[in-house]
Amino acid sequence: MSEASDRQGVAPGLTDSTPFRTGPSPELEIIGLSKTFRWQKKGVPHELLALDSLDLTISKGEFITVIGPSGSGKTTLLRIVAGLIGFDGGEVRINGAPVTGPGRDRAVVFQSFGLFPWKTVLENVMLPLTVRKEVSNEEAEDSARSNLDKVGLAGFEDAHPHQLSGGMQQRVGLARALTADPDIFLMDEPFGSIDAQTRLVMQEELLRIWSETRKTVMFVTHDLDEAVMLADRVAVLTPGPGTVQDELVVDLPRPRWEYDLRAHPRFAEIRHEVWDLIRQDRIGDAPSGRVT
Amino acid sequence: MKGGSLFAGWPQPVRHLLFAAVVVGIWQLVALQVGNEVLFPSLVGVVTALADLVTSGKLVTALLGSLQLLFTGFTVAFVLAFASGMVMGYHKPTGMALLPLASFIYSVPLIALLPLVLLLFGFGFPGRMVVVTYASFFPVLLNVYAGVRETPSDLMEVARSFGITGRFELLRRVVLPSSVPFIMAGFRLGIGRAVVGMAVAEVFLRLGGIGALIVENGARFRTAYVIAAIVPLPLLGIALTKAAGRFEQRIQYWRYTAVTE
Repeated sequence: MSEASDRQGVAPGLTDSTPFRTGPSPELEIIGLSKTFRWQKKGVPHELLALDSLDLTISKGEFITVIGPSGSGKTTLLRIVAGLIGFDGGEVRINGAPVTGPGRDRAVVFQSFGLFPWKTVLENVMLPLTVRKEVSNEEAEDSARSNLDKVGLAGFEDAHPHQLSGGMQQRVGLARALTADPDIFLMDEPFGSIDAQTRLVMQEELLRIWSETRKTVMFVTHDLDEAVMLADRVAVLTPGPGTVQDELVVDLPRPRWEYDLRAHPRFAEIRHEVWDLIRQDRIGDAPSGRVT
Repeated sequence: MKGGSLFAGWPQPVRHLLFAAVVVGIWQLVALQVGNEVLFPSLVGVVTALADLVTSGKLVTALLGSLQLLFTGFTVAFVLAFASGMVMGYHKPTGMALLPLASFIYSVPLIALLPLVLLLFGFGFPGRMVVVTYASFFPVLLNVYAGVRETPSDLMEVARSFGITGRFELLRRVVLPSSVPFIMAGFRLGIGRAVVGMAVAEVFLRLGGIGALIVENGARFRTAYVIAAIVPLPLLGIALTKAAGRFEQRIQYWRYTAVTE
């Protein structure tokens, strides 16, 4: 057992101050998760312990951000939950069922957008439905169009991804995830490669869209402001091997786009607390620039 | 660059024609100086020969025969190379095993293989077709192989995360479309090489098509006719490569359309 989960006692992943303890049953449970990367370099086997008995529980409808310095394994964690890579120890359960691979209960928004360049915007957004072959093409198209409308891309249906700016491409990525209609959205630094001003707009729009659906979100980021601004709860990872060092509840009122969040005194306090946790852990290798 | 700026405003085709006219003019002047139609045929001689070949219908007949050989040989090459490239790219052990062999055979000069082709396939249409196929097979194979290998791994991951599973589905929905630019480049390079293979086969195996025109006139020291018969070859190569390039742009429009905000 790691230090963090010892401290948290019987309810792994939840601190005493977490209001969600009494909330709905956990939708996503990560218990004692470990992951080691192994590879060969010039015939010599190498190992890297990326995650070390990590515990994290996310309730239904909760927006959780996972923050940590680069190398803390936050993207690894997300990829495991997405079912894209395996793990070595522990458990990952969604609504009680163990994760064995990708599934329609989850949809990923990728940092690199991951749009198919040969498909139009509309075709990209339709993808989750065309793969399933459960609804007619017309229904899939209707759903895709309404989601494109939701992310503000109505009128760009026939464009190809490379004709769009980074921010617009990620809107397509978001619309695609919405079309998949999952229980849990997994977001891997989705705004990480988008310019700062666009990022602010996108964060606000994400909050709006989320407020309409209230689906569970696990959002990985290395941006301190972003982590606090979006989340119900921030999970801070230790530098690699990653484990949850602490969790902080963000008790800022919602909807958060209706006031200047950064001017709120609580915002500064929570931001400071998170930063304190990250700073404590700095051993030699400084966290990436944005976490300053 | 004063010389360059002189024609800078002129359209590209006009500038090409102008340059060609200068070269051809020098040619005619030198030929008049040499004064030997066998060693150095004059421009007028070649044009007359070309006109004769066209009006007598010999050139058209020869071209039709050559084109038939070209397209049969290249079609076989493309189909075989496409299939092998896909398998080699998608099944790593097969690729690792066959790639060195492919590189080895690719490096063998076409001419050096002719005795072998003659022995195995004869000098009839099969033998000539094999030469064209051999000449154009490897550019297609290596490009298809590279296209499959270069499939972006993040797109494969996206596909898997949205439920595209199974090797065939991944191949159809991700690997194949993302390889299209490579496949088209292979097509373009392959058809250029097929023209070379065609000429070699028609000259060195049984005479036929354009190759026959060249050799027969050469044997009779009708140099002007030899040149008149050679001229269509590079033109054919350029025309086919250009056409393939156009087709390439249409198919992979997503690479060529302008970037707009």
